[in-house]
Amino acid sequence: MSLNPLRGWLPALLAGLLLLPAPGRAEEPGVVQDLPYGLALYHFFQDRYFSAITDLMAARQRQRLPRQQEEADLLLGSLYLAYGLEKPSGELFERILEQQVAPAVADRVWFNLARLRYEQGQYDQALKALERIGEGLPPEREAERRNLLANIHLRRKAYDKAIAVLADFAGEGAWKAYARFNLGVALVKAGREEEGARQLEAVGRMEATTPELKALRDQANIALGFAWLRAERPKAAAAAFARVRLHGPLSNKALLGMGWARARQERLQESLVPWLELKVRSPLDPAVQESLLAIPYTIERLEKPKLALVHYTEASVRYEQQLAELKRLREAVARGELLQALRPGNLDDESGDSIYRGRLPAALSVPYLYRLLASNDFRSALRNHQDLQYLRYVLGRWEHYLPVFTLMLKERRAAYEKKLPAVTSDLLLEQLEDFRRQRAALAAEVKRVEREHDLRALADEDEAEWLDVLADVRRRLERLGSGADLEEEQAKYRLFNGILIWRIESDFVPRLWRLKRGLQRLDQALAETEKQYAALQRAWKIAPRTFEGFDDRIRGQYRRIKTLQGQVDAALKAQQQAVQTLALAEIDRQQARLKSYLVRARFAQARLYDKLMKMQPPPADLIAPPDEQPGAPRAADRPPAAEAAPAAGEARP
Amino acid sequence: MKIVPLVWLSAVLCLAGSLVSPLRAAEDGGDQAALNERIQDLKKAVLDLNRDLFLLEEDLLFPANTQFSVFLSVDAGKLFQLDSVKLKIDDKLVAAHLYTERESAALYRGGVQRLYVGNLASGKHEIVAFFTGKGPNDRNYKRATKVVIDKTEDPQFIELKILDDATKEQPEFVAKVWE
Repeated sequence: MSLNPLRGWLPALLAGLLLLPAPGRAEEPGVVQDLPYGLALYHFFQDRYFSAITDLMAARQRQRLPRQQEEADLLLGSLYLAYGLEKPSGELFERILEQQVAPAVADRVWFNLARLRYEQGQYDQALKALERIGEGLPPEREAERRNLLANIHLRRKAYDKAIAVLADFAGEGAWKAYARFNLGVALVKAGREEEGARQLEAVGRMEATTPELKALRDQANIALGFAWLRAERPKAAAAAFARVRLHGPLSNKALLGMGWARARQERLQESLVPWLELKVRSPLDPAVQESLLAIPYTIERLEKPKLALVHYTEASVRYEQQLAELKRLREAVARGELLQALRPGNLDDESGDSIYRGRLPAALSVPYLYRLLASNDFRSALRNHQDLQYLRYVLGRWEHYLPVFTLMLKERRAAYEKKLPAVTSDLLLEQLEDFRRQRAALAAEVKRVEREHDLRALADEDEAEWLDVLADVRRRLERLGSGADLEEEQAKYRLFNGILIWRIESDFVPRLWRLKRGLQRLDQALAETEKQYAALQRAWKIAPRTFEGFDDRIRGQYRRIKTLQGQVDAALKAQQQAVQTLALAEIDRQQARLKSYLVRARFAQARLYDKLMKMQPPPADLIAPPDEQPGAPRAADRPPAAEAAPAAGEARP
Repeated sequence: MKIVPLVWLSAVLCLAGSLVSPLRAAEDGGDQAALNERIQDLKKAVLDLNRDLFLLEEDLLFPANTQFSVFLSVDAGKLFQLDSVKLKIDDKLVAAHLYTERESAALYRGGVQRLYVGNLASGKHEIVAFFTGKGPNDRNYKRATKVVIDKTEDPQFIELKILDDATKEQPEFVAKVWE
């Protein structure tokens, strides 16, 4: 065994696992100080990037972000990125930095820019952006910054720098685990394999409480397990595989590896146990497919050729079944059924949740499709396809709305013109003027009453009648003259007149106050009428704004919609072609792998059959005994380990 | 005959598959990159158009002098789980919303929902919001909050807020008029 068994092949193994991206964190939103900012967050939190971006763009245009402009720009840049718009995202971040922004904001922008450039593969620029960050980054971002910095160094093959960044990492929780994993990778890349393996071993043995950390631990153990296996250290490999969860996403690989680790230790009988567990799992998984061959291969080594032949036969049958499934799937995809299936359930679903939910055509409803959908290339192509479909929906919706807007404008203009004569006639103004004149006359009269102390003017109806009666009495008394004996009548007249005058006189002040208060009320009513009149005039003056100038805007936008519809349709067609090509290529890959397995299984069958024939003529029921018929329930369920159990000493050839 | 362990077969096959036609793969990759670029440009162009049409719609349907909007937000929100809300303006029902789990989560994470946008004439108006959901101890909870506004000729915004009153251990519902 080599003194350094890891040299040379661990880097190759880790290549596929290089640079775990670590938990992705979107730009953390702050407290809402402007409503449009909060509104964008509401959409963002529901993965509705298109709506969130639109809201922020509209709010910026209308200057509705007086308190949170910088925060909103940062969010908008992140949203662009999340929506796959790298160019506008970069431009916006650069623009923010050209302005006078607070150091803390600038640091966050530099950080986002670094992340963007990293994702674009521009590592030098990413590094420069990171170097611009000062002291203003929130503490929770610091771990992310270091992880990003280490990843950039690794991408630039500056392994020692990456190691230096990660070695004294003081972060907590998931970040620490990711940093350790990446440190392991960096050490291996730097040629310090044993040290790297120790780091991965530590990740593989860590206490994991979250699904995220458990997945990371599994990944480290799988990498280590296969590495030890290739280094001819099967015992260590078995220990690593044993730490992988039995029902996690990597469990199939672990079971396969565990089988090989035991086989390398010549624990052939035990190696069958994980493979037999694997065999009953979904045959779509490459690990399961491989186990179908590994089982008879090992049984043959246990010198049970008859049983091995049975298992090879079963493997052939299962590969053929899968190939037939794949053939059906390929035909369905070629017929365009996949594209049919990938139409979203709800047209207005911008987050893509409703896509292919329970709507797959029968030919596609095989689990292969789900494996297909799980690949990164395919998901990315699908996302573009789905985004284009949503764009088409948006354009179609506006195309439908614009004629409604035009009709609405027409109605508004017609209503305006119909009411125009009534509102603009002089009648209203004349009425108002008349009210004003009457009010002025009343005010003048009140002043005169007060100045002249006009008691009669303040007399009520009865008192006025009595005053008239008494005036008539006085006139008659004066006409009768002094000759008549009218002493008593005159006295009565004086008495009654005195009483009446006294009554009015004593109530003069309250009555005058009531009169004035009435006048005040009249003033208020008049002022309200004038206000309403002014509002009416103002409203009328601005009313044309509700329909003027829109026609040109609508026509212009309609042209834009039509142009974009053509472009989106063409892009959608091209993207559909791309999705279909990817799908077919993936199916072809799977078919090639299965065919290769099938050839090996058949070759082994022929070889064993020959061997058995040479030994003795096989009885008719040996090759496929009734209870061992491939595909029969017992054959799949019953572990052949018991039947294949070698006698003592047989286990080791 | 020496039988090669199968453990590396998958990897070998994958590699073989990827080498079938490297030239074609590069061409396809180039085409896909160009298509991706085209799709990116299209997305931005449709976003710009959508913003312009959004503003056009606002100008047309909700002119500034009559525009009135009601927003809803949740602060803390440990004491109340929102199910639905109804909004009445001057005793007339103008909006009702039943929350999905996703919408509810977006609110509780700090998002703000635009519950209603419409037109109101200048002058006084009574706005009443009715909230239903689960209160403390998972009990059904229904509350209302009222605000009277004096609508001016500027756009007006009301924010309905669901808060936690820690001292009373009860949720609190308030309406804030944004200046």
